[in-house]
Amino acid sequence: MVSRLGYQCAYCGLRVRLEGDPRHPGHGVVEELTKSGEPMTLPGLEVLHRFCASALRAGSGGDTMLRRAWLGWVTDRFEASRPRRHFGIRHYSRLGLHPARMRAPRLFRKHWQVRKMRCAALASHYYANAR
Amino acid sequence: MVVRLIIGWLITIVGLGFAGVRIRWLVRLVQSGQPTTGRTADIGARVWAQVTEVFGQRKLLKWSIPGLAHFFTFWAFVILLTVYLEAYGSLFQSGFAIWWGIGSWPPLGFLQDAIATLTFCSLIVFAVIRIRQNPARIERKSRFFGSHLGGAWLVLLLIFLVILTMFLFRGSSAALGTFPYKSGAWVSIGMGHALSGIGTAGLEVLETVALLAHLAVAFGFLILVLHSKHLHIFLAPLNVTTKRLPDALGPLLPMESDGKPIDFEDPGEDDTFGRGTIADFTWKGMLDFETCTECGRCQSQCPAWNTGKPLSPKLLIMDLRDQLTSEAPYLLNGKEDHEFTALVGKKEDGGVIDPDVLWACTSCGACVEQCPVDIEHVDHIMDMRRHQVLIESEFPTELGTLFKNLENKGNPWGQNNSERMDWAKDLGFEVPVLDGEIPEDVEYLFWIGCAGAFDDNARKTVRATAELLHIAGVNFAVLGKNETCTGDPARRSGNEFLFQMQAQETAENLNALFEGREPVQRRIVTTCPHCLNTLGREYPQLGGNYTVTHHTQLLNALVRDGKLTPVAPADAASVTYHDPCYLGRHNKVYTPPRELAGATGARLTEMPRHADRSLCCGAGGARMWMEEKIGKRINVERVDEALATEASTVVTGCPFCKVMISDGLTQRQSEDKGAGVDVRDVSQLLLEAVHRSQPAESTAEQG
Repeated sequence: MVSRLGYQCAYCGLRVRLEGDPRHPGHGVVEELTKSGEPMTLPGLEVLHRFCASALRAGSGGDTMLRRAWLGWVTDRFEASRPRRHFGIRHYSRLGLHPARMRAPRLFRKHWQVRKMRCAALASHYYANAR
Repeated sequence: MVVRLIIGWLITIVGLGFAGVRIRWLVRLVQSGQPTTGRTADIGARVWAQVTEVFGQRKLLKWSIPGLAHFFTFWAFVILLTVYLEAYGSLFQSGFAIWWGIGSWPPLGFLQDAIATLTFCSLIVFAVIRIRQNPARIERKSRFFGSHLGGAWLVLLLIFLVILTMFLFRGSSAALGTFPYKSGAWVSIGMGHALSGIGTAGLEVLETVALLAHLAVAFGFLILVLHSKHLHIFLAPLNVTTKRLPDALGPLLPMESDGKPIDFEDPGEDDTFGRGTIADFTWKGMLDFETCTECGRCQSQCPAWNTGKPLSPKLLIMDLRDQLTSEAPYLLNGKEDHEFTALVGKKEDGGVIDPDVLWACTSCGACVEQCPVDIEHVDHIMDMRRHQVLIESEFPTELGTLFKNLENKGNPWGQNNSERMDWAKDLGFEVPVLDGEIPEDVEYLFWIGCAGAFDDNARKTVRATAELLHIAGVNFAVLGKNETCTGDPARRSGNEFLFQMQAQETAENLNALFEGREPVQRRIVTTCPHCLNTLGREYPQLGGNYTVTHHTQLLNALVRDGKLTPVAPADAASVTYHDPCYLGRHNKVYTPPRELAGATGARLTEMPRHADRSLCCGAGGARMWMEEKIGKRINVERVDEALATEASTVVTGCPFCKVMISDGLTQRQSEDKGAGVDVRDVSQLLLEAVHRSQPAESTAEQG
């Protein structure tokens, strides 16, 4: 049985990459996550994906599946060497879909849900054995 | 002769014309459904289903009196085709007999008259049943509540007219001396004697009128059948032939779009996810809707309906059929320009299926088990849930917590995985935890399940089972912290995507664990029937093939082999056994738990609803994680039934059933009912009985 080695991202629950290109959106970073109002005892240090850390700072919210979908989308873009200027968090909220550019804008919601599943599946598989 | 020949053929041509138009419309409508796969494979099993369920009326005969009445009525339709052949022959030739001497063979005449007489008796039975079950009087308690009652009475009348005109035609023929059967056809010949007082001219008129009426009634009946719930006469054989094999219980079907399984790693944006509109259903779904006979057997067995909830499997299918009919013009003449109505929604918002109906289902399968025409209710409900969750994101708020716990923690309770082995503390022997491939000498992987790991009540079951396996010398090991939820709650609540994610990961891990072993050697034992069903019957859809056994099956085998020796107490306790749906109906395991309970020396008293008619505890279909706000609580209903047996212990074989029944019992005990009664797993009873033979070795804490 494969043991659960490695570190899980405190934001999306998937494992982080600790090797390879540090610019990779799934590369691990350590962030201080103590919420305001909490007593300052030990620092609340957590491991996150580089992208998840930025999403958290931007206050994107969303359920775990959506967070994974965002990570999956950005990972896919990074792997395909798409321009970095698209990596702003607002761009990812639509997972690359724009109602105005669709042949049937009323289907935006359905297509967005489908893309969310695809991107989340991609992230889950991509980071399953991340080191 | 010429006049009756012309009128007879006119009746036939007009009747067949109307019927032909309707049949063509129905065929096109069903063909407009989505394609689906696997409905024609295993032809031998399908032929056997046809023989047993259609010709043998196996499912109908589960209910003896109405079953027998229906058996005779069905066979009347088959046998009396020979009478219609004779009737058509008589249009051309007075005294026509079927060729080669068959038409004057007394046994055939006897059979025709006997089946017609038995059908007449059956009509009386049907009428009595309909009067006794009149929904106007007993409302929801009637299985006909919500069914089309007028049409049913009309059909009974038409069947009666078929028999009446048949005997009048044959009787007058016998009186005229043109009847081909000289003996055997006892009712017709008797009728002939009764009519012999009428003169020849009168008899000739009577014979012609009765003959033409016999044909007219048949075609009137045909047209009525094609426009009513009695369509099942023609569609039931088709529906039974194309049913899911072995039946629509156990594993859920993978999600398909356009007849192909959806690849969640690369789904098409135009794929159909679940069923959001009537156009999304497969042709088999549409065939199901058109085949429903409105008999209400499903409704009478449904735990939700029986506890005052709005879900009735029959009414759900009828609503879907009505929607299919209302949107048929668009299905037949172009789907592109029409926006189909969303199925799930409140009536006032134009919805067809109320969300309270959709989410009340416990997926217990009682409806599927009972349905005489093999409608797959649970599959349709799950498909609509899938659409609601995956595309609409509309589901009960409590499920949000379930999904979050499954996504983040890998179990529905939201507990940390580090607590997964807490059940094994102070067990008195070491439970081996696997980390890597399973060693060759380990016979069974003991799958603990999330309930067994995190629920205090279920932990007692797991501990008892582990100790029994240890005593019997079974070499087993567990996964410990590496175990996660199989995905059953996610799948039953419609979150197929989450199920796929969880199940793929688990299947990959299990395949790595069992690498090098044949599927038959990949043995898993579990105390949870939901895990049993998912691992054993759903994981093959993902390439995971294992031999999964319920603990009651394994323990029963160990008792039979003499590896466990239970000793009965001096005074046998009375117990009643609650069948878990996912062990019983879904996986057909009824006997081993009962034999085990018997082996402990307990006296088993069955509840009225047991085995394949058992009442659900209310936890299935992810209902365990939802609030039950409407009607009586299902678990309390089950506890009331158990208490009525006056058993001192309610035993079961499922951790979820145990939780639900314990909760129900606690409620009743707070009302001063059921004092001294307790709820236990069969393994706990067995462990106690085994300890009687080896008191010094008792180590485990008893529940």
